[in-house]
Formats: sequence, structure tokens, C-alpha cells
Amino acid sequence: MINVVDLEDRWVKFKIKSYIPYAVIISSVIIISILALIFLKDNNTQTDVKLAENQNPKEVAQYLPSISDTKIQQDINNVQQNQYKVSNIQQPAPAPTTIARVKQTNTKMVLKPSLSFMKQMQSNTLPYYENKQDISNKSVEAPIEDRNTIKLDEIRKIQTEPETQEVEKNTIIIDRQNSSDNIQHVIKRFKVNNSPALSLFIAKKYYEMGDYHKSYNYALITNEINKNIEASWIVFAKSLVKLNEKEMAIKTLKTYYQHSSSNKAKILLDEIISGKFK
Amino acid sequence: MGSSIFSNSKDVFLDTVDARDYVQLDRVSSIYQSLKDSVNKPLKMILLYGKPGTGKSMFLTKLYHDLSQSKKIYLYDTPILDEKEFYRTLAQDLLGVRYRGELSFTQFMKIVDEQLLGDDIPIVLLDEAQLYSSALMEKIRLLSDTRKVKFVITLHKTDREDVIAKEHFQTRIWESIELENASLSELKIYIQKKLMKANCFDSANMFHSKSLNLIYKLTSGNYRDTNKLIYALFDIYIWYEENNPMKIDKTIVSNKLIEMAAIHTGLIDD
Repeated sequence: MINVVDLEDRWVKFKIKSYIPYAVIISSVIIISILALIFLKDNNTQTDVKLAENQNPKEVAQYLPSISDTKIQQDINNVQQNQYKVSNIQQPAPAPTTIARVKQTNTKMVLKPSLSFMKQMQSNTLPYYENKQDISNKSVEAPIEDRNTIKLDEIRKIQTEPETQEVEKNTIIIDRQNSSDNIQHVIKRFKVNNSPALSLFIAKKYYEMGDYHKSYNYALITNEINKNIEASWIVFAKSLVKLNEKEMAIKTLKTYYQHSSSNKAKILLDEIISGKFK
Repeated sequence: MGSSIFSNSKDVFLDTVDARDYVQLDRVSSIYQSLKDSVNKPLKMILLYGKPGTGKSMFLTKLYHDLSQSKKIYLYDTPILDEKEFYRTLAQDLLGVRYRGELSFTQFMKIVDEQLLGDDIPIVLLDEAQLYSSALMEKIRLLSDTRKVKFVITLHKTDREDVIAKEHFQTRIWESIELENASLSELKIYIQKKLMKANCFDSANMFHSKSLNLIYKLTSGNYRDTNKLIYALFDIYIWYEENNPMKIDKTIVSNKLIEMAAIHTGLIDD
């Protein structure tokens, strides 16, 4: 007589064994699909970033008429006042009130990428750090920087042609810097390995680019990862000063100096207090 | 227990070689007919070969059963490995003479040549011929050359048997018939016919195509494996009927029980 009870147990084991290959195949397929989805999603975000990057010049171009209409008008007034003081004033300019529009054919503008998309990415990827960004909401926008690049002689030309009513198409020269791509690449690497060296690099780079808000953020991140990096505290304090948070920069540097006795921190602290560093 | 439908059905699949259990299938019947025709031809030897469990022994038994009334036919289902004992047994069957002393091949050949006369050539059926020694097989070939005796031998189809066939039978006038496993449709008919022959109609109706497909998958259509599997299957059914009848469905054969039977018979490695 067959031992059916034992046979049932063996059958259960056999069934489990027979399902193992299917389970392995199904789980592998699921894992591969998940990985593929993640990869595709990552690719999509990259293409979105590229698209945003490509769209930026257009956006800037859209903003330009308004800049020329309003802000440039004010600048012209300022420059005009200065012009009177300069020795090589050729002809007194007619009253600026007659300038309704600026002929933009001769206005050559050198723009840098606004990196506004970076902020968007930052808000998506670094929510933890964003909570601490309550120091200053003032953002330094590229168009404001661009404004400063308008040359005096060009404005003079604008002044000498006050009757020009036509607005011609803008010819904008945009110097696209690869540094933003590099930073983007470094940010990606930083997100993978969370290295303070990389975040410090990013902070420095942003500081060099004049994006003090971001340089402040990345210096803060670096300090949180490793609070003993002198350069990071220096960038942090400098960014604070640039963001009009002088008091906080002094306070931070004092605390750091007490903790580390860093000469560089002391020098910077003195410079900030004395107003040498603005 | 004895009156159970499963008990009767189980007995149908006992692995025995009985001509009455022969199930007539189209392809098998045509092969059998060609074997019968070959026996009537002036051939010295007929080779029946195939994998184990393809029905070679059943063919020989059936042939013996069918021709024993009309012809001088002798079946050796168990090989006689001792050479002298083989000659003595043959002499006794073919000539009706019982030799007590030594009987060499030369003496036996002389007796056969002198005493086996007439048109009715005796047919000797040798099952499991791969068990005979090469020397004895060579003497069997020489015996068949006398045209006084006709041999029908069965061999397992292996490399070794192929060598034997080459060495001993290649130059002889003979016919070889290969037996193969049943196809899916043949296996279905085989199981149904076997059960219906024994009046186990309820059991026969339990085998639906799903369960028959599984049986074919497990046995590859091998008759012996099929018999063993279904025998074990009904054994399991009997156990459930006695101990836990709620667990079995008498209208359809459970695939789970087929797999359990396969594990029991070794067709599945658990």
C-alpha cells in the first residue's frame, strides 16, 4: 500500500520546486521593468532639463522687450546723468521723455544662463535642505545681470536716436557656458555618492557664477556632511554676505572661528566687519 | 475494497505480459500484421527492436498466442544463458528428444540437419536477445543459416545492440521491425480501451484530455511507464476512497494524484 500522506508531502515539495523557476523569472522581469522605468524616467528628466535649457534663450528673448521698455529706460536716465560728467560728451541728448521705445538692432546683450531650471530640480530633489532656505528669498536673476552688460556707448546711440519709433527684431548673442553642464554633472555625481568635496565644489562654482543662494545651499549641505571643512564655511559666510545677511555671516564665522581658530575665517570675519568684503 | 471500481481498474494496469491484454491500436496492428507476414516469408531471422516498454515482449507473446495453433512455434521469454542448456532445450522442443549428457553445437547441428525435415519450419521466439553472449548469437545465426529453424528475436535499441546486429545479422536475409512509444492519441485510446475491455467504464470516463495529456507528458507514451503510473494512480485513489473519500472527485482524474503517482513511480524527481 502506498504511503499517501508521505506522498502528499513530497508532492507539495515538488510543486514548490516546480514554481521556483517561474517565480525567479517573474521576479527578474519585475526587477528589470522597475530598473527600466527608473532609467527611462531619469532619461526623461534629463531631456526635460535639456529642453528647458534650450527654451531659455527664447524666454529671455520674450522678456527683452519689457526689459528694454522699462528697466533700460531707467538705466538710460542714470547713465545720462553720468554722461554729463564725462569729458567726452559730444552732444547733449534730447529729453529722454521722447524715447518711447528703444531701437534694439544695435543692443548687443551678453547673457548667461539663468539656471532657473536648477531651482526647480533642487526643489524636487532636495526637499530636506529647502526647509532651511528661509534666510533670503531674494534671487539674483540673470536678466538683472544682463542689464549691467549694456555698454555705455550703446546707450548713447540709443540717446542719439530718440525719434526712432520702430522696434526691430532683437539680435541677441548668448554666450552659453559649459560650466552649468559641468555643475549639473557634478550635482548628479554628488547625489550618487554624497561627497562633501563635490558639494563644496558646487558651492564654489555657484559662488563664482554669482548664484549666492545656491552657493549658500551647497555650502550648508557640505557643512552638514562635514562641519570641519574650512573652505565650506568661508563660502557659506561669503554667500550670506552677498545675500545681505551680513549679521548672520559674522555670527557664523565667529562661531566657526571659536571652534576651529581658522586664520582664513578670522581674516574674512575682519574683512566683513570692516566692510572690506561686501 | 475488492469491489471498488478503482481496485478493478488498478488490476487492469498490472505490468504483465499476457496476450489477452493486447490492445489493438491502428499503428500497432499494422506492425503486428507485418510481423506475421514476415514469419510466413522464407526469412532466416526477424529482428524486433525498440526501447524498453514499447511492447516487444507483448508482440512476441501475442505472436506465439496467435500462431501456436497453426505452427510449430516456441517462445523463450527468459534467456537461456548457458549454451549447452540452450541446445538441450531447443533439441527437446524442436525434436522432442531429451538429452541428459553433453550436447555440443556440432552435435546439435548434426541432429537438426538429420531430423528436422518437412516444410513446416519451426519458429523460435527469443525475447531479450541482448542478454545472449556474442558467441551464442553467432551460433544462432549459423543455425538459422541451415533454414531448418526460423528465429524471431527481440532486442533493446541501444548502441550495444546495434553492434550485435551489425556483427551477426548484417549479411543475413532478415527483416527488422522497430517498435516505438505510443503517440498522444494512441495512448488515449490505449488507456480507454484497456479499461473498457475490463468493463471499467466509470474509470475510463474519468480520463479527460487534460489528465491524458499530463500522463503522456510524464510517460512519453511508453506503455510500461503508463501501466505503472496508472496502477499507482488507482492505488492512491483506493487509499483516498478508504481514508478520505471527500478529497477525491470520481468524475475526473485529478492531476495532483497523477503527479503523486508519478513521484511514487519515479517518473518525477521530487
